[in-house]
Amino acid sequence: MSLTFSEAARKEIDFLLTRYPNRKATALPVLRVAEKEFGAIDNDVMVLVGKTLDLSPAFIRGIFTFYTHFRRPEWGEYLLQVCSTLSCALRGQKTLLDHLEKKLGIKPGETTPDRKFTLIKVECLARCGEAPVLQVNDETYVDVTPEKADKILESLK
Amino acid sequence: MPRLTINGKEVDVPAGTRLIDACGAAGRMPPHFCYHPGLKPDGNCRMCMVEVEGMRGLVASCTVPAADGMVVHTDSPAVIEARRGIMEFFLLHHPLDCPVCDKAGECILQDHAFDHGPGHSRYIEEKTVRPKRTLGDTLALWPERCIRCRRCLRFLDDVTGTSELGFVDRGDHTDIDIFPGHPIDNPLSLNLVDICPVGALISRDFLFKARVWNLKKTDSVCPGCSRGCNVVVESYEGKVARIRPRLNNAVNGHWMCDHGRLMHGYLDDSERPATPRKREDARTFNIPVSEAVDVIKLNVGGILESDGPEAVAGLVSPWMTNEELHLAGTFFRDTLGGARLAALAAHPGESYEAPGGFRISPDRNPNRRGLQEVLGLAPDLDGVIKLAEDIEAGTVKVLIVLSGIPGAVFPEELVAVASKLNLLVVQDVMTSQLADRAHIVLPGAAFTEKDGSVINDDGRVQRVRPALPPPLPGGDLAVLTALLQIFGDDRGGDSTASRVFDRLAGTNEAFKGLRFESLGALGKPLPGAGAGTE
Amino acid sequence: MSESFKPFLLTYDGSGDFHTLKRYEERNGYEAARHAITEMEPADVTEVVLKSGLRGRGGAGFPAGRKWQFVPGKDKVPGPRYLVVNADESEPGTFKDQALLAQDPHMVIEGAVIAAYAIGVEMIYLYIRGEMPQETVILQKAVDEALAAGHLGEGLYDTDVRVDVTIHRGAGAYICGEETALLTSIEGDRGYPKIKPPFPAVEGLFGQPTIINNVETLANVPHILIHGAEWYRSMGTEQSPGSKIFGLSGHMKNRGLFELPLGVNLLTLLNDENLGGGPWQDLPFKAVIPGGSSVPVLAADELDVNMDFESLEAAGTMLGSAGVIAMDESVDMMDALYNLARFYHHESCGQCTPCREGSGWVERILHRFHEGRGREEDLQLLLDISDQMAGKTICPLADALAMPVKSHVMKFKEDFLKHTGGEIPRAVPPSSWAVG
Repeated sequence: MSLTFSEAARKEIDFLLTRYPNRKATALPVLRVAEKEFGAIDNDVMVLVGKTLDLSPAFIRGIFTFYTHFRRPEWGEYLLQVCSTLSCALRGQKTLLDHLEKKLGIKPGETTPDRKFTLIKVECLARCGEAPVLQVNDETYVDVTPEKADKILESLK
Repeated sequence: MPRLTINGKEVDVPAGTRLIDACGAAGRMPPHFCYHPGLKPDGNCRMCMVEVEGMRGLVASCTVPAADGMVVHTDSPAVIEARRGIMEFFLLHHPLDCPVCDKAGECILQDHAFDHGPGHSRYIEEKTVRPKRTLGDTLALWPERCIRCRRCLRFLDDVTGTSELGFVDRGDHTDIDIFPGHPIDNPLSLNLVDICPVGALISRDFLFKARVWNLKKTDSVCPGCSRGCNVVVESYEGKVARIRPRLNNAVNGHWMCDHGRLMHGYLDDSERPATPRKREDARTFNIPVSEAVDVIKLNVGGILESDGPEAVAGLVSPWMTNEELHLAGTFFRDTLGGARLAALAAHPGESYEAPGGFRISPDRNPNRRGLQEVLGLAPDLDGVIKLAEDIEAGTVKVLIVLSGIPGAVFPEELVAVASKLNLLVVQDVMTSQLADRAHIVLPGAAFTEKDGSVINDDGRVQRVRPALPPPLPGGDLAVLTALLQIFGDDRGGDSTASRVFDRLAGTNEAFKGLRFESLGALGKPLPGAGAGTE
Repeated sequence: MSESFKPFLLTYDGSGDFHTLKRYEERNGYEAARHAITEMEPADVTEVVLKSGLRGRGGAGFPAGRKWQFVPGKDKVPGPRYLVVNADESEPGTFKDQALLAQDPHMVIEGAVIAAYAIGVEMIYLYIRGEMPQETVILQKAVDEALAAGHLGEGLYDTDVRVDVTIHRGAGAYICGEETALLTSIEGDRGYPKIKPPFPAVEGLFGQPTIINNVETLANVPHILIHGAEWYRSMGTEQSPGSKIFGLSGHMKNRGLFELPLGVNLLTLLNDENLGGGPWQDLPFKAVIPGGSSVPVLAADELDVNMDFESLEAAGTMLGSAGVIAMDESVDMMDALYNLARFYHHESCGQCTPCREGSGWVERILHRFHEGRGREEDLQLLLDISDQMAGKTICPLADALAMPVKSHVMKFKEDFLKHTGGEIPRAVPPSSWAVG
């Protein structure tokens, strides 16, 4: 299967090429364009990005797998990212994580059978004063008690 | 010229020298993994750290330019301590499977662990386990042995520009891998095995073939094309086990191509002629060399008398050494009084130029230049077809073929008329349709069995050395000498390559001033063959 | 604490449009940028910042003005110069840049524009971590507003000065907060730090002279330009002038951001009812990390120290990012270290041997402790590993792990010994050799 970028995505990429002195420097932003276009970064997407920027697919895969935040195809619709570094661990992270595990019936790294929720532990999200911190896709929630977590999950149904 | 003090000794080095090489010049090269003189320095292994007075802590010498006035200690207690620590880190997850690893005996990890490591590991946790896999036709990967030095990535990025390998994941999960469906596929892929400091990247050709300390190493050049890359032929129990490049900055740098590396397979072909053979009607007999020479003398002598030298022809090739070509020229032109000489060559192949500056020539013959300089001849298919026509017409009655091209295909036109000849002699490394029709077949020496010199396409004269004995004692030179002697020409005389070459240099302007013994390991340019090729 | 001190970095009043250009014009409103560009020479701008003594707020504390002076003249090194704003805030316990970006993006932009003018930069790359998508949107809106209003772009304030901003999103890697790894990431690659020298000011982004500054550092710049170096020096200490945003997290009553002059006493910061408010429950403080997790931890009897660069250094730790993490007596310091070790192991880029292997080793040992299977000799082993890592690597992430390891092990030995005595399992043999 040979993917191509849409007209709109191509325009974005062309604009990006004017912001950097060479193609390689657009690699991270172009991966974001691809992420938006195709929903996630899989092998076909990596081949397309490589072709677009004249970089080998192995190189693109090296970038994709180095960074944790590019969307993986195995993630469900909502990625529940529980901050687990020290400041959150000191103030309710374990309670929140245990609650989510029990509520959704999955362990960190797993996805619910209906592919709606993926639960993962992440490192410091820079809201330490308002721990525990939960990110759901691009939204950040702070002071997340189990009750608040329930409300968040409700709103996503 | 920066002057440094290294371990108390003053050393002058050219400007731009890296500190690691300056230490090497002072006789104390720091141990290292990721540094390679043919690649850009990376500074990631941290093994080359040394102490420089005035600079904080320890510095990675491969990434520091040697500066005037530096005072360097390559083996201070702090450095020795640091190396011990780095070695311990390297071996944390290493499978230590030396007993089954090809690299044992030439493994930098083994060497440095022995010289600099603590001798035992304090690691008692689980080791990570990763499955082996192939990376393409030529390479396999044992990822648990990988030390993430990045030499392979740097080679594929900067030398071949193909970047088939990339890192995957980060931290100590980092692995090298190809992209699924995009195997390593470039003409220089097996150099990765040479540069890998451990047994992670493995040659599928050499896998489990031999222990490297049992290999006999012979310096020579590759016959795969006219570049004449410098190689080491490594043999074991009478067979070529492996061919690897030798550093020559005037020719191939650190590399050689896969084609040259892998072209030893034909040497094991059981179809190779091993003894001289005579064919009478439908039967062939093994005969001693002396009898073969006698038959030739009888037939050629007779034809010379009845028809003159124009009825005798010789076919040579650019796979012959300068010395063999010289003796062949003497025989056909002088001794026989003007017999005809033609030449055939191996078919051309694709030319290749690596972005990092390595060339494969489309000319797949090692000594076309030698053919030109020694005999004034060029391979000419049309000339050979004309020769075939003359054979058919009966004006040429004797043909002596001295080939040596593996897999050579003699033109159909020549094979078709072979039975018309009074005498057909074929000396070659392989059997062929032409050899099947020959009255006398002589087992030719393979390129790895020759002693002599060839000239590459830059005009560089380089030594070819025998890694294994040729089928006939003295090789093709001895056969030519015997032919010369039996026709009464004593100029063959002492048929060592050295003497033949020096005689050639004495009579041929192109070789003026050169001596065989002075060709050395890296060869010498023909006089006037372009400045700066020294 | 000086009664006359008024915060000028954190002035957010809770209103929904505080971050807009319209509201910013009621505050600084790009007056400092206008003044600098129309009435000062670039070198004079650098001089003011140098005189103010402003030190980098990202963690290293290097004097900002001095850093700007490292950029060579165009006669020595031709070609563009770059300013990179380091908005990759990922240091555990640190959350000040997030607030500045979300609440007062124009102040950050203005500081960056002034810095760009001082150094001769025409393109600013603002590297914001991938996990801040909402802040990215706010920032992009602010950039667009500034562009439309003539505070960014061509011909600023009727001069021929041009400054542009490209927002570059990170994608989840703490190491990209290290300035040279940040450059590698912008150049389109895995975020590997670069060998120094050469230093970025001479040879940085795309091989050109580059200055990398933290968000908070740049936020200070408009204020310094408006009120002057003397004013800035009137706050803080001799070696650590100015104000600082302290982040309080963990086991104190009042968590959050507090902007104060440098030099405030840590005990005051922790216990003052208007600041930390003391421990959040009945248990007293057991340990406090003063500057983000990459610095040595302080034990309860070491907390009487002033929060500035020189005092903390003298006390054997560092101000770092001023991310104060407080832990009370309920905390097992072995577990706290295990949490941090997991962080550094996860974030190690893997480029160089000591950090790549050492960080994994430390986490595995602590995992064994976590399961009650530590050994007493592991304590010395942890210290040895730290020494084998620290100072031997391309970037200081190895040191950032080594410092917590050493300080936790040496100051809280009992919390480790509590987890010893269990059965040590035989290490699993690797798959590539068979064992009988």
